[in-house]
Amino acid sequence: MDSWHEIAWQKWQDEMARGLPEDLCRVLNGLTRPQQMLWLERFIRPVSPCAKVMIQYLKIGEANWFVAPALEWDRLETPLGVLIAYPAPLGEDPLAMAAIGLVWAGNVRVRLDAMVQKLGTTALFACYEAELPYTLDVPYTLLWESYIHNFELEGISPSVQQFFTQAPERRAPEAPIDWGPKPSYHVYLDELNYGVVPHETSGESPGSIPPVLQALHYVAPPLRRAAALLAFKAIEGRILSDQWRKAALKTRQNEVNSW
Amino acid sequence: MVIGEQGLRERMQRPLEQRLIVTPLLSPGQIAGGSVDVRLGTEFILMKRSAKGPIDPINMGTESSQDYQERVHVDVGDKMILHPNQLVLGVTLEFIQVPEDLMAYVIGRSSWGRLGLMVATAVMVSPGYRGSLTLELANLADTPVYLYPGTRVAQLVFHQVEGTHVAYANNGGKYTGPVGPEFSKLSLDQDWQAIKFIGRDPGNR
Repeated sequence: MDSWHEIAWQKWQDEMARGLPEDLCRVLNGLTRPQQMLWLERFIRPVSPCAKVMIQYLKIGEANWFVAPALEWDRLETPLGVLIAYPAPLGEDPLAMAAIGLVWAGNVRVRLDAMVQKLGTTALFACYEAELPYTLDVPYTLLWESYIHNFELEGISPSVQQFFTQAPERRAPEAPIDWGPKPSYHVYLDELNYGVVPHETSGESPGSIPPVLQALHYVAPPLRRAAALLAFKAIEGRILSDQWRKAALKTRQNEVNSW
Repeated sequence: MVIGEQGLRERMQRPLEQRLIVTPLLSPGQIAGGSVDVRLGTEFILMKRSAKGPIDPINMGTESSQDYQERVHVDVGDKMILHPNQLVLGVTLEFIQVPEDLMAYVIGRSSWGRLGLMVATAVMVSPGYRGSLTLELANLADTPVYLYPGTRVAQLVFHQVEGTHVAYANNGGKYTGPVGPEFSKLSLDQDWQAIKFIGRDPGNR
């Protein structure tokens, strides 16, 4: 027979899991009791709108990503999906939240390459801005050496350099990352420094997200936190505009089909 | 003088400091005739019934606003219910910068008004204002109504300001630059000092 402690823990667990999506519950049910408790306690809090939007942008593949605010970065992969925790105080910063993609990729090269294709060079700056801990399985040395190989120290502050050069090296030599060109971000940096949401003069959101993230990295510390909200608004606008266009196209096709 | 469509588009091309900004525009048809349609954003402040007492505007800065308000996020594609006589604060999806020689009026769409939805009470947007607009949404009808983020809820009509004026940002304005709905900042009004002083002075009794 179960002890009263067992019964109390089970009751707490049932109450916490109520209202969580079924596929997340299936993942949690496959974990050990301590892991279940740790992750359940995280998933009862809502994900920040900024993290939600960044996940929409970053998500690759069919597998489930379950993201929750917590006190620190954490990751747990199961055959049913990946659980990712991010530090709640950083949840309103889109560049820090871009690091969710790197935490998902870990040291799986094919995932890393796919993520770099989405984020470009901002993948490097996301690691720094998110304060990713060295204990995570992220290939810091590969990212750093590939960046230096391509761009030398151009655009790198001493603190970014320090972050990467202090990371412990944990990899066999492999082909450098193909970064592609650096994003052109100066117009958006001017807009952020001036205190407005990055935009095109047509009123549309910026055509691409990495330049906005890159611009955010270069905003000076006193304005940085407020600029994150403006950058988030621009990214949310870009994603919504794409969804809007897709929906409008679909609506027109349906009208033609029904005609 | 109301600024027409061509004038609005021309002002959106100007250098940053003089630029009319309305972003994101999800469809080009949002600017038509002499107005810009604005959409309902995804952030809301729900007003709650507080167990601790009424809102006292003179002390609002010191009380915990959590007692009578709750922030919620509703994604585009989801909906939120607005009950009869309920007030919620919403926000425009668009971030706006009004040039210093213009001002704007927020006009609720009559289609929503006919369902009982009142969209805004603070209908004037001052010259130089920068930020998303907080919308006071109230259901004046007897039937609950759903609110859908992303829908067009109001129009902005821009007017030329003649003569000298002080732009919003330089005028001690309290609402510069928000991207979400903002609760009342009535307690920051300078007048409270005078009202408190008058109330405490026995010579006035």
